Order: sequence, then structure tokens, then C-alpha cells
Amino acid sequence: MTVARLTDVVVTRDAFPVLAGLSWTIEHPGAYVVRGGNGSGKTSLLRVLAGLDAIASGDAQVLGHPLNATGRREVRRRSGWLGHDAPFHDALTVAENLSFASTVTRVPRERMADALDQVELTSRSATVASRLSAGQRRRLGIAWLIMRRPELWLLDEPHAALDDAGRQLVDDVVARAVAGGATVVLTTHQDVVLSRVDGEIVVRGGR
Amino acid sequence: MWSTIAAIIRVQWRVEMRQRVLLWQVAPFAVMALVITGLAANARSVTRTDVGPGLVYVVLVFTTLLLIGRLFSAESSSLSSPSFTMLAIDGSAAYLGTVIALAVELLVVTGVVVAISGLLFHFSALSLLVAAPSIVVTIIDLTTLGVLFGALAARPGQSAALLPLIALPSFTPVIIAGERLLTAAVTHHGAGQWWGLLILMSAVYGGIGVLLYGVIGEL
Repeated sequence: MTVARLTDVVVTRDAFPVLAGLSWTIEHPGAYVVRGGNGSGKTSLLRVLAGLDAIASGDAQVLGHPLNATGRREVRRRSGWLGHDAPFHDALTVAENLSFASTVTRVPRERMADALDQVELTSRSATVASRLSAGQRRRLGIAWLIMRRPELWLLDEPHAALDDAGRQLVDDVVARAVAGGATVVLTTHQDVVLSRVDGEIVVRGGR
Repeated sequence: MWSTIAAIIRVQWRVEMRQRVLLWQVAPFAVMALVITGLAANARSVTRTDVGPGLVYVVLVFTTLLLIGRLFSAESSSLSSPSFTMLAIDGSAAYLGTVIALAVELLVVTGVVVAISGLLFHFSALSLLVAAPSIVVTIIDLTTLGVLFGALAARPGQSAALLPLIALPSFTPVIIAGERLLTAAVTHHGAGQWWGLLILMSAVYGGIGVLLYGVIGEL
């Protein structure tokens, strides 16, 4: 089954076209890279794939769902997002945040220990999120994706704020997700080298 | 659904226990507002039962707006992020969880405000006890409406001033009903007809919130 098919997709924000007729097809699960400069539309493309933004015109299907209101909800249910923010409350600890997210999404809480271990945050499980560094917050976001095991991983500049060990960790996590049959789409404006890349798109001016 | 509601309530209260916004910001605001409006109305020289109940509800309305505005501004910076949206939480459960958590917090502040109003306006403990059920329902009504409008006002690109602008007109019938019932309790008169309005609004506003809260997130 085709993972995502975007045809002449236009997305506007405040009447400005952030995507201006972009077409891209992801035929098979694998690792895909979206490259482009600042403001080129990389994050907007990822938001469309995540079902976060409605399209103004064009045709879009993700995980077999057309991107109307119902389809976007379903896509969000089956996708995982790692952005510059994190779905966590600053006043809650690492473990409490993951526990809350797992409860509301019905993800087994038993996966937490392994996920924290994989991102090397086990020793920080009782630390409130506001006391984590940017890199540790990024690792917490990755831990949540490991717990959730989505079919479609959407990573917005996942290497940002990470040291060399953190970048290696992202690469390992991406490789494991792809090996498990998932599709990973990540954006970058850096010369990031992944151990496996199945496709690439360069976005310029929202196209 | 119930586990989601319970999880949201737990999170809201845990955050409150850690940040103490209710204790150090909202409650002091409510107490100061009540004392200042009481002094401004010169309650010693007029019939206390004429102004007291109205002032109590004016203070509770602004306290509600303060708490809801604060909740949604905090959520805008974390829980309304794309990552949180991706959790795809059931809208009805999110609404009910938020309303229950917030209503309990507001009832705690209301207890303080009502107790001080008793001292300020010389309401008897018995009359406040008689008024208690109507106060509880009024606060629930204010919360069901406030959470719905708070979510509307917290959408990207909206001004913080939008919340009072859209909430206050809808609060009006609730406040009038609550005030009439409190006045009836302190003057020992009957005002049973206002109960119907309060309960009707609980059902209508609660129903609208359960149906529309998730839709607001899609806007």
C-alpha cells in the first residue's frame, strides 16, 4: 500500500501559501528525508503528512486516508510527531508525562522502561520536564515515539539540539523503526547521513 | 473515555499541587477583589443583602476568567502543541476532564470567597448553607461555559482579550440565576424558579461542550 501520495498540494497560512503545489509519493515503508533551507516548507510538508493542517487544494492521501477532517484525525492516531516542542507538561516528571500520554492513547505503560532505557533517560524519570535540557527533551519526545510505535514517524529536524551521541541515537531509532515496518520521514537542512535512506525530496519555496 | 477523563483530572491537579497557582495567585485575587468591591460599595451603609450576593458573583466570574485564562495560556505553550494534538485525545473526554478538574478548583476558591462574604456582608452560616447547592451548580455552569470559550480563545492567532469578550454575555443568565438564589437564601425568600434555569444551562452548555470541544481543536 502506498504510504502517502500528495498531488499539487497547496496549504495556506494567513492567506500565504506555505506549500504551493507540492507533489510527492512515498510508495513503500522506509526512511525518507526532506531537505530544504529555512522557511522552504519542510515543516509544513510534515504537518500535512501528520494530518495537522488541512489542504487548500490538490489531492492528498496518507496511510490510505484522504486528508479531510475525519481522515486527518485517523492519520494523527496512526502517526507520531517529534517537533521542536514536545507533548509534555513542564510541571510533570518524565515518567508522569509518559504515563499520561500512554493512558490517553491506550499504549501499554509497560513499554516505558524500555523506551527510557533506549534514549538513556532512565536516571531522569523522576525529573520534572522543565529541568531537562533541550537535548533531553528531544530524547523524551523520542522515548514517547518508541513507546507509541506509530506506523508513520514524522521527525522535524530530529538532530537539532543533540550531541553526537544523541544523533547516533536518532539514527539507531530510525533504523529500528524502519526494520519494524514503519515509515520514517524526517526533515533536515544539515548534511545528515543516515544509515539507510529510501527516498529524498528537496523543498524550495513550498514546492 | 473514563480513564482519559481521570488522567486529565490527575494531571491538572498534580500541576496545581506543584505550581500552587490557585493558592498564591487565584485565591488572593478573589479575596482582594471581594474586600475591595465590598469597601467600594460601602456595604455598612446600605442593605447588605442588596449588594452582597451580586458582588460575590462578580468576584467569582472574574476569578473563573482568571483561572481559565491562565489554564489555556499554560496549555497553549505545551498541551496545545502539534505534538500534543498528535495524541488525538478524545474531545469529549478532554472537555469533561478539564471541566471537572477546574470546577473543583473553583469550588475551593468559592468556599473561601463565600466564607469571607459572610463576614463582610453579615450573611448567616445557615443561609450560606442553604445557598450552597445553588452556588455549586452556578460554578459548574460557569466552568462548562468557560472551558468551551477558553478553548476558542486559545486558538492560534486569537487575542487573550477574546475570552472575557465572548464569555461574559453567556455568563449573564447564569450569574443572574445564581445571584437570585443567593439573595433568596440570605433573605429567607423563595426563588425556586431560578433553579430550573441553572439546571437547564448545565445540561445545554455541558452538552454543547461535549459535542464541540473536539471540533474546536480542528479549527
